[in-house]
Amino acid sequence: MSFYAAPIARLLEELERLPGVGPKSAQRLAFHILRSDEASATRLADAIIEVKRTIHFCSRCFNLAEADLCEVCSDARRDTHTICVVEEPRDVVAIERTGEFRGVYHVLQGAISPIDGIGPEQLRVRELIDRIGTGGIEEIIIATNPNVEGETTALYISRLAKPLGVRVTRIASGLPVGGDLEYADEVTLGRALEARREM
Amino acid sequence: MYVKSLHLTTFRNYSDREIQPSPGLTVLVGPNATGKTNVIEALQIVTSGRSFRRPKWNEVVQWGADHATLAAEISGEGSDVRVEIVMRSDSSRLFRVNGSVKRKVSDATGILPCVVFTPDDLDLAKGPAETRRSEVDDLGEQLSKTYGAVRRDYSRVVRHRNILLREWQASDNDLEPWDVQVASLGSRLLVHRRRLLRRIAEHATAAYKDLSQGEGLSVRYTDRCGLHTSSLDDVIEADEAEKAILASLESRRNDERTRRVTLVGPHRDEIVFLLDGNDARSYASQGQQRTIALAWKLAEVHVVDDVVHKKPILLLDDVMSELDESRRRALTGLVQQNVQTFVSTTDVAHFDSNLMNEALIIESKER
Repeated sequence: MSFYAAPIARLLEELERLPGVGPKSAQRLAFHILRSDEASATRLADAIIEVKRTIHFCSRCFNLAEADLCEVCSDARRDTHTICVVEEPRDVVAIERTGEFRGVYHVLQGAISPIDGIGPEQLRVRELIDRIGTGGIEEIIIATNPNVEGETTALYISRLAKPLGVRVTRIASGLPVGGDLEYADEVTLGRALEARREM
Repeated sequence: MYVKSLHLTTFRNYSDREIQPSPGLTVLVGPNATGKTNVIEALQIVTSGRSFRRPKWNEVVQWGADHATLAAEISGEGSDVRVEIVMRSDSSRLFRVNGSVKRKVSDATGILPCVVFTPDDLDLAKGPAETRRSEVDDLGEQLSKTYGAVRRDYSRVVRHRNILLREWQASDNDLEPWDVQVASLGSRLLVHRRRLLRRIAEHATAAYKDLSQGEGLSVRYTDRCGLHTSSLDDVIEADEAEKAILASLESRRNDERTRRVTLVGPHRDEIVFLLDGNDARSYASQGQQRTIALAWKLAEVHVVDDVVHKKPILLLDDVMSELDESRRRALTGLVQQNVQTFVSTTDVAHFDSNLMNEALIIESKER
């Protein structure tokens, strides 16, 4: 049973569906919206609707895009010989922020995870292989997460891509560049030690 | 190092209880179902992050409350550390060390390792192989974060792979990357586990000899990784094990497809106790099995000291009534070696009076 008037109860219900929002946060958000003026409530509602109406996946790399192609794919200055493969659109943002990468992306929309019912068919793996197949690609850099699922996805893709004659690399995981050893957690440091290379 | 104070808030049957244990021996006395084991469990959770009862974390929250809190003051070399673990009714947990929030359980635990001995452990020698494997791995997790991470990742890989075999009728292409992961993580788990087990076995053999005058205890590790070894003295390198696992996975693929489960890897390895060369599972008497369990726990205490140079706390839940006089003395004797010890018991008659004179006795009453 709800103690709230029906419209508030409905708003609470919707807010609680959002990730990371529990009953208490939902209440806080709902009351903030109630207290604010109508114009700002409309701005919020419009922004939500607009993002749903205008944003879709880039037809080439499956990054978020406003037009048919995303901003990266439509930028003529990008190096299209190198594709960086990531799990989610937010990973594109993370790599763009480094300013180190001038190539293009391919967003898989997740990682292989049988526990969650996700296999290669549920991801944009086929599309990546097709992209490589059309030629002109020299290297793919696999930047999936350094966890069990990300590693498996990287292995899976590298087995498919290598026979196509492209260079396949994996971003190094381990110590953050510029980070002090002192602040690296033991697991990271342990992995970095185990994966040490001859110099 | 030792636990200076423990505060339990809406944890199981305790609404709000503060305990200030002795740096030596603390005896929790009381009838059954008064919450003695809950204190032992709380001490294990706050030091290692685990509970021997393996509850879902919402099960420890007192009825009607939305979270349970355990806070321990650990007296270290020089400064004190305050560890706090909050368990919520949605089964999530929150960790704090000296007030600052930690993201992972491993960041808040292992500051003071612990060794737990409960009546269930008396089956160590005869119980399923899984019990003996987790006994080693649980200790490893407390001693090395890398060990813990490898163990967690490996068991996740096996779960993924078992689903592929059971539900997806996966193709070789689908299985291949998981094979690589089983081999790379499995080989590391194997090496970590064998190295730790070898240390435990050494101490356990010595302890068993002291306790029994007679038969000799030895420990064998039979791998299911294709290495065909059972001696802990063989030195096995990770890359050798990795190759063996990969080769075994290939040769047993049809078997795995028929049985729809991952059959190769350290999650299937066997740890076997031998008494004078005879398999303890079929050969040992009940008394001998108990002595093996006891020798093992004593060995764990020494291994912790060897590896991380800390004395662990020793938690003995209701095992005193199961052991005879001399075996009880072997356990409580660790107090003299600066091992902070907690014992729960229904009857103080199980202890000699000299020991009780020095112990802090906490009585729990009928509710």
